[in-house]
Amino acid sequence: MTQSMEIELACSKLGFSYQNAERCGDKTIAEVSLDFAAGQFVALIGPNGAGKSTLLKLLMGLIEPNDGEVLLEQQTLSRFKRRAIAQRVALVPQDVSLGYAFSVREVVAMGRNPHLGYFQAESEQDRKLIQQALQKTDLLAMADRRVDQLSGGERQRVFIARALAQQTPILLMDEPTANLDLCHQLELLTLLRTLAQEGHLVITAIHDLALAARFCDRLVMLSQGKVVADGLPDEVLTEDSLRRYFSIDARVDKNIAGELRVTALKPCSS
Amino acid sequence: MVHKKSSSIVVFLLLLLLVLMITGLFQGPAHISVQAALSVFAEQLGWSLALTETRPWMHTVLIDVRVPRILVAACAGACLAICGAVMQGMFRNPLASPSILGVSSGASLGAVCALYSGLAAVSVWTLPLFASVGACLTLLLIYRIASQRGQMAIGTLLLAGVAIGALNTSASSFILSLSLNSWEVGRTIIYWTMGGLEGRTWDHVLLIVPVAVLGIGGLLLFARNLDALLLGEVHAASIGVDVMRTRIRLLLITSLLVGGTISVCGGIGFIGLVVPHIIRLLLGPHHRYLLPASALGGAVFLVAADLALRVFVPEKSIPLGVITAMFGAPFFVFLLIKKRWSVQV
Repeated sequence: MTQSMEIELACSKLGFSYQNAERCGDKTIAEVSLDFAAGQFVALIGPNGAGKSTLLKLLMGLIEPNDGEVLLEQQTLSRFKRRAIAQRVALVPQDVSLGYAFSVREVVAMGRNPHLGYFQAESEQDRKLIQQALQKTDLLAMADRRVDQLSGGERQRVFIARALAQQTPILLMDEPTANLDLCHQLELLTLLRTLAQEGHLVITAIHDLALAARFCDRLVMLSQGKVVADGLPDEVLTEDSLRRYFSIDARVDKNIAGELRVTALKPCSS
Repeated sequence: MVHKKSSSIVVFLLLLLLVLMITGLFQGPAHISVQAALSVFAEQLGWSLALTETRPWMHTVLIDVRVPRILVAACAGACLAICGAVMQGMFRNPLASPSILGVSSGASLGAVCALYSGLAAVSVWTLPLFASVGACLTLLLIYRIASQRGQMAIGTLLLAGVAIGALNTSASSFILSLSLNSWEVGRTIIYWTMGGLEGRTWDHVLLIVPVAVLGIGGLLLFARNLDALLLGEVHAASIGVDVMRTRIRLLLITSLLVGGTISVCGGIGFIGLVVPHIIRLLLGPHHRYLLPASALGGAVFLVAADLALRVFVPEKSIPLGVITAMFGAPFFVFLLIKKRWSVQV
């Protein structure tokens, strides 16, 4: 595994709250400071409402923080134009709704937008990258089908392929496995791990703790907008942390293959 | 391949437009033969063709009456249709159009103010100026209402457009009621509100053609960004589209186009709604083809409508806006019923 010490993406004392939350005195994100380096495959875990999606959007610059700052390649994110950010960071959001009659290939081709001028047509190189992205997400067979006629899971793979076609060193994913069947979940996470090994920085918000532990080398646990744990899966996923932050009584042990296994027993009352 | 089909449709529309425009030259109460027309144009350009004898009145009719009218019709149709297509893409809403956002009625209000105050008679540029100001002010107003901390709520924008549009229309009606004391002014306002191409001169052409060329050209640049916006704000931003800035620029260009168009031909509705839909059914949502095809389709639509009016009802001057509404509104209802639109906001 290649380890690079260069900090590609970082946030320092990040704070943010949506308007309604502010009035209730809750901060959606509070005092979050994290460093990410190339070659890492990081999982953001946490209960619902912990702030995972918000953090990803802040890291991408889609929303402006109230406090603190995000640093991309050691420079403040606000210095970058949106197009420049898109050439370095690709985000696959949670929402997969799309009601327009684009074909799968056309949506994936939009991933090349940050690299193309106003009237510039796609080059041979662009087409090759699009083809590769389709292949990696098992979409070649349905490349010419209409996106609005696909299932939610298939659409999710289309958006992931779009991010891959974007060819960015940093990939942010918000619950990419949410709608996928088991086979495609494993394929996707294997793909992401390979990309990390090749030098990309991949940060994914994910609900499935066992999958996170199995594929990612670093887990960051968020709860109520704060980072409550950050490290190896073994260190982060303990029965104690699960009880405290996920409100479940659970058993953490190893399965036959030697991988971390989390068995949720029952919800806590507190 | 989609691209071949789309390109051929665009070419077909262009040819259709040229045919209709040339046909329009020979339509009217005064009969002018083809040779006469060619001679007139030759003389205008400084050559002498002398195919047949021409009279001065032929010059006037062709050069000063028919040509401007056809050019204005084509430009106005193109502007309204492309603005409709852009607004539908920008707001991910198939019901968006210049009239729904209240921009058309804002332009109308500006024009009505110019007519009522008598300032329209001062110069031929006063009315367009007032109309463009009306369009821009409406736009700024609804934009301010709907945006907050750099985020635009699409639902609020559309509703604000409806509300301000209603305000504009009622203000226009109020001024109209005041003006009915003087029948002449009242008649002008009513006639103008309904939209028409009567009496369009080269002054109008000189106003609308540069606006149309620059505006449409500018909008064509945004084809790729509009495709991205259809995916959703977050998706678009993550492939590098500055959503806020793109929206502002698109809104500015479309309001200028609509303001300019309304000021030249009055309120003509439904082109911005109906034409992009038909084109989208034929070509799909790709703005690279949708935008130019909508512009051409709008031009064809308006030139054809005007031609039909002159052929079938030459004596009465029925305002163009009535015709477009007569065809547009039932089509709109048909769309609603057929697709049971779920508004994506």
